[in-house]
Order: sequence, then C-alpha cells, then structure tokens
Amino acid sequence: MTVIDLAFGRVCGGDREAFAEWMGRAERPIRASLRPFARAVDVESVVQETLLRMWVFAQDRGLELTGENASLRFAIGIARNVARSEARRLQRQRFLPPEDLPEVPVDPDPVPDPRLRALIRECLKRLAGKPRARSRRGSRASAVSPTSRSRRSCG
Amino acid sequence: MTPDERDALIEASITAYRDRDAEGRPVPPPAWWDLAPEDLDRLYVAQREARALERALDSNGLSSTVRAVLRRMSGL
Repeated sequence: MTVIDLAFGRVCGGDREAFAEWMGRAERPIRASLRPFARAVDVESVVQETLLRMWVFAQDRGLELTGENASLRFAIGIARNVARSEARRLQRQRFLPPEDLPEVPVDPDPVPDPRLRALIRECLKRLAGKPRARSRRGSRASAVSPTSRSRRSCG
Repeated sequence: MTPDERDALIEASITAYRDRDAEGRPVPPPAWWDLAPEDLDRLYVAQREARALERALDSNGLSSTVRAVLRRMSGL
C-alpha cells in the first residue's frame, strides 16, 4: 500500500487533514493528466471540481477502491470526465483530444522538501522591485477573491 | 493582441480563485475567454509552475488550489 493509499484510507473516515495531505500529493498528477484538455477547458476549475468530488466520493464509496494508487487513478478518471463534460457545457468540444488518448502515468508528489523551500525563499529575497512584490503577492493570495484583495489593499 | 496584453490575460487567469455558478461549480475567469488556443497552452504551463512554487514554499506542501478546495469544503 502506498502513502497516498494510506492517506485516502483516513479520508474515507472523514479526516480533513488527511484529505489535505492526499490533495497535496494528488494535485500534480491530476493536473498533468489534464494537459491535453488545456485548450478546451479551464484546467484550474476542473482540478478543483475533481478534488471536491473525491472528498464526496470518499465519504460515500471510497473504501470500494482497491489496488496501488487506486484513489489517484480514480481521480484522474473523474478529472477527464469532468473535463469532457465541461467542454460540452462551454461549447468547446472542437478542442477536445481523442477519446482513446493514452494515459501518461505521473507519480504522486513526494513530501515537502524544507531545503528546497529555503532555497526558493533565498532566491525570492534576492529579487528586487516589482518581480519580488509580484511573487510574494502571488504565493500569498492567489486563492483569494480579486475583489477582497483590492479591498484589502485599499484599506 | 499585443504580447503584453496576452501576458496580462494569462496573469489574470493563473490564480486559483474561481467564481461559482448557480450550481456551485467553479467557472473560468473572464480573462480566460479572451485567450487564443495556443495561449491556453501557455496558461497551463504558467499555472503548473505557479502551483509548484506554492507547494515548495508551503510548510505543508499545499498549493493555492488545495487551499481553495479546503475553503470550499468548509461550506459543504
């Protein structure tokens, strides 16, 4: 059983911290699987919708999944279905890849690397002016509503 | 469209923030609709790089995408 399977097992019991850990490992491979759909759909929306559906699925039938990295493989299947359905809803089917597109496996993410984090922070410190402000703003607030961001900066 | 205008649209779409439709589904940001197909490829790469940087900078290895989902879950 892999680390991601163990985390998903705890998710099925309603553990939100385990779900955050599972998402931290699954997000990159899910996003990578959506590369061929980038012209048809908003990949960010599809990734978020897929992750949320996995939470709902885990509470209901998650324990039915078996096999190595089963939850990740299942999530990738959901992501592709969501992408196809979203492309139809947005009237962008002409940009969809062929149905029989082969899957390119991507391993789950490893645990965070404190040394890499320290190195990136050091690099950011050395940036000057606008690029530095932009990178700091981006990493802090990219999930926050643009409206609330502008309200904060005016306050 | 000039390269600067294109870059501004890509920049505006990189964020993990998404409005919701009446059924609660995330919807593409307005800037996304104005991007040409080849620019959507560029956006994909830029988003992937942004999330990798966020994961590397976060002590729990979480990106803004994951944090956006956690926020949405708190409303379920």
